Amino acid sequence: MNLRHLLIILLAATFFSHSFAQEPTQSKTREEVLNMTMEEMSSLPLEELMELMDIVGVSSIEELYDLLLNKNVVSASKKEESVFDSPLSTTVLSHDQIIASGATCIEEALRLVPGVIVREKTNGNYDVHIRGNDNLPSKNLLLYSENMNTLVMINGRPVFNYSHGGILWETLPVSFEDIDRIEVVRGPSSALYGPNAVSGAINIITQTIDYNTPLLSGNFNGGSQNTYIGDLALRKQVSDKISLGVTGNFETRDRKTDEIFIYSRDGAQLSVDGENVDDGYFTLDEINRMRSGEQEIWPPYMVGDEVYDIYKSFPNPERSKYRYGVNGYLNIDPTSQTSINLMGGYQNSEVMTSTMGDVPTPYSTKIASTGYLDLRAKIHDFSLQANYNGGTIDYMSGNEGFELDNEQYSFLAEYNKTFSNLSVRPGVSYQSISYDDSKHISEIGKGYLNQKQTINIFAGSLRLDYMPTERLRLVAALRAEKYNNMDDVYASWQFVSSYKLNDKNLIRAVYSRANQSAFLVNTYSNYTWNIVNMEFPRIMQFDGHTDNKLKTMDMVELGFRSRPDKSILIDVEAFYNRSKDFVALAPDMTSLAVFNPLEVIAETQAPDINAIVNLSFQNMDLISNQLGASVSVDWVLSEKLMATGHFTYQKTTVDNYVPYSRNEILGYQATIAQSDPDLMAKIGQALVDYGTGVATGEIDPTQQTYAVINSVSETPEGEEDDFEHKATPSYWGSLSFSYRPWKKFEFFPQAYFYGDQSFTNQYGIIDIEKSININAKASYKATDNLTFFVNCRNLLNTEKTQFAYMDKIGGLYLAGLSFKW
Amino acid sequence: MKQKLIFLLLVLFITTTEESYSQMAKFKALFLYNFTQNVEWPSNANQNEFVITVIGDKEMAAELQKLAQVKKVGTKTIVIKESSQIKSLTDSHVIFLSSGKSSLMSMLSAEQQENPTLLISSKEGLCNDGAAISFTTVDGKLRYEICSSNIEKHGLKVNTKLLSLGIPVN
Repeated sequence: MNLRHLLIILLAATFFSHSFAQEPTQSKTREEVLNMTMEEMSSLPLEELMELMDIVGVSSIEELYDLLLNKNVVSASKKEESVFDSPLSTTVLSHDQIIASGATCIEEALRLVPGVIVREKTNGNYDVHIRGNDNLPSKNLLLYSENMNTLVMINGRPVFNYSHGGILWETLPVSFEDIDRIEVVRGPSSALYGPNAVSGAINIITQTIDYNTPLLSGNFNGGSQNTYIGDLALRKQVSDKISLGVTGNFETRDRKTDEIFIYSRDGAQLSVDGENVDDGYFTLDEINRMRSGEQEIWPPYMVGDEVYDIYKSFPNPERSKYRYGVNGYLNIDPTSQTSINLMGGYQNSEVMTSTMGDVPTPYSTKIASTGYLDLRAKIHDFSLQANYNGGTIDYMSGNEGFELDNEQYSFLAEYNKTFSNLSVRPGVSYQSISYDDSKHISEIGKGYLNQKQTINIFAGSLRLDYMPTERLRLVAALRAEKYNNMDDVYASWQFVSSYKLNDKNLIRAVYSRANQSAFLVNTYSNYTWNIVNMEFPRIMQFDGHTDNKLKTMDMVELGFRSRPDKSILIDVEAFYNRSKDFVALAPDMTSLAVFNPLEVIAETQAPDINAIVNLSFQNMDLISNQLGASVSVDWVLSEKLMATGHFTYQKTTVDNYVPYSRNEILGYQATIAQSDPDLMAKIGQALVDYGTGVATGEIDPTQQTYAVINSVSETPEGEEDDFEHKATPSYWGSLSFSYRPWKKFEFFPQAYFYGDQSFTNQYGIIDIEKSININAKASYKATDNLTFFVNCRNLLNTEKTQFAYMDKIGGLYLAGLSFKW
Repeated sequence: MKQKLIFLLLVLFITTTEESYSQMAKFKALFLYNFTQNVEWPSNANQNEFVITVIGDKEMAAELQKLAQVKKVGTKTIVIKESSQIKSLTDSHVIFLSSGKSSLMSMLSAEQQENPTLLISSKEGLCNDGAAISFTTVDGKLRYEICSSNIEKHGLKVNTKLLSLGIPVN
């Protein structure tokens, strides 16, 4: 779409907007109403009084109080309450706030939330972490930079990647027109929402369709880097008992380059057409001709009839994000005490972002096609939720074994009974999560599951909310989970007390524990990688363990919330958390083997000795300790000016830190194996054993093509305690203003900033400089139904890397409109 | 110099309108009075005067006092009482709960369950906690959520006009 088309759309929208806009027809002016006496107005019937109130209007400042300072939240207690009274660290982003901010996607909007660090990887693809604790363990795969600690939900329905752990933001089917608000709860919340709400939970709440809902609404952004983002909603309350709607959204964005980064793994010399090159950015054609030492860096191979090569891995290297989603809503209220909400949808996405595997580049293309159905019902004090998520996700296009079909079923039943000052909420839930790669691999053994594998979670929960006095509130939430593959029952909890010093000041304390769920790769991996693009080792075997302990976090938090004046809300939270039982891929053993045993026995070749490495997804001794604090201030300075800001400071140290990468440990083991004083004798014995096995039929030489010489499982010593973890910046925050000099104009500048970071993975250390990202959106409300805007993200075009190895993020300049009829 | 400039800009921006504050309280008070015209109390309710108790909102209490000077409910004189707590509130026809006290609505509802009292909250979304009427704003307009079952369980009768002009809540 070019600029001319954009202008035509804008002009047409203006015309239609003015054509359909309705002007108020009331006879009295605002001044006349304001001059009426109390006695005059009190004599009017209610409907006329309401008309007069509409003429006066709720003042802008009252609206701002409601919008910014008097929000309600549901996610902190599973019941509607004022954010001020929330017993947990809680933030609510309203629809209007998100739209005003100019955020171009849900992840970017989260920059407005205290304690949430948001870094852009490629245009439109973000890393989002609540309070950090990211990239643990370090010196490992980029996979461990994914946020496996935060549970994202849509109306309480988990949208989480149980395959590897993490959040696939681009696969969320909803967009801003769907969203009423985003509620963020910081701190361990598994007791409320189940596993993976370790550092917190993000609950995206969709809009209620009622008689005030516009029939048609939408917005459209378009601008630089071929970025086009749009939303459309058609919704109607058709009777007092039934409402329905359908929404659609799309997003497409380009990168500023079509090159991808190639690292020199373990110092191997890279070359293109025989000329040595350093690691850096290359075109796909160059990578197709590139070598790492003697090996082709990206050799093509066949999967069935299809060639898997660099071009299949990166079908659109110039594009960072493409997605669309559709959603349908049906709400029925059969009686005054019963409501049924049915929501279903589909999404398709392709993004270029950080890899979850181990390839010569930190980039991968993720392709997903998924659907869902979610049923929520409330019958008197019972609430039920049942949903299905399913589809196909290719986590690393062009890499056999990473494309999986998934099916997730969740069921939750809760009963809420309130007795004056005590609320009791027992519940049961069941989740069944299956992933299956067998339809997408050329033969069994080429995937890491090689079949359908399932994780089942059965849980019971109880939440007690007690107010012994008007000021004191005590909350206890408990949950116990049973998995199909572990004997242990996992318990999570929240114990909270809050005390209202008066109506304007509240103090609170929280002690909570939460756990991750089991993930499919951690539990069931059984994958043999015959390596063709590295000289060492020759084979890597990846295994999972069904008895891994689940990662848990314990947290103590103290909070203070103050409303010194009706125009200002201050929220302070200080937290200490301790995480243990991390699960990560780590070496078990390195074995030396002869890879041409028959030829050596036949004396036609010299021994080809290389290594077989066994790795598994195993518990680490690593313990993370984090101490920090966040402060947020929402301040309505006047009818024209509103300011919001938040600042977080934290320090993370780790105990039992292993200062070695996977390959350094493997090198250590290989050195010991090669230094074996009996090596020659063991080679001879291995060949004898292999030959005997083949002769007796115990070994099939077509299946086992090597003879194992020796094995070493020792790891280097040197674990460190109190090691400062620098992947999370020591500080970050945001400062934004909403300025409305005139009723129809709004200007929303925002500065999002963070401190220096040092990111470590198995191939290097990347320092990320401190940075300030300036964003600004200017909106002009042409009519009640139509708003035009210009929107600049990274206004200063800083061209800095925000996330290790990923793109330099430049300015994004957009224009667009939003409408409702 | 830069600091002075910023300070001056802030002063320019901060044009707080006291009028705005009072308009909202004034109209809430007028709405509340109008609600009383559309609700019928049982004969065993306080016969001598019409008592409206305001919890935690001095501004609202002041606006209601102005109304009480010029209006009656039926033949009864309106008496405005103020309280900072929810306990021991007897003989109130209407209890208005401020936003700052909204967490106490379920306790207030339990305290008043035997009484013919109309419970009104300044903050939206409290019908689920027992409020009969909750004020809210929709697109910059003052509106109210209304729950007929929460009205009737206190022995009050509500007319259809009040229900139809409000946002019904189950």
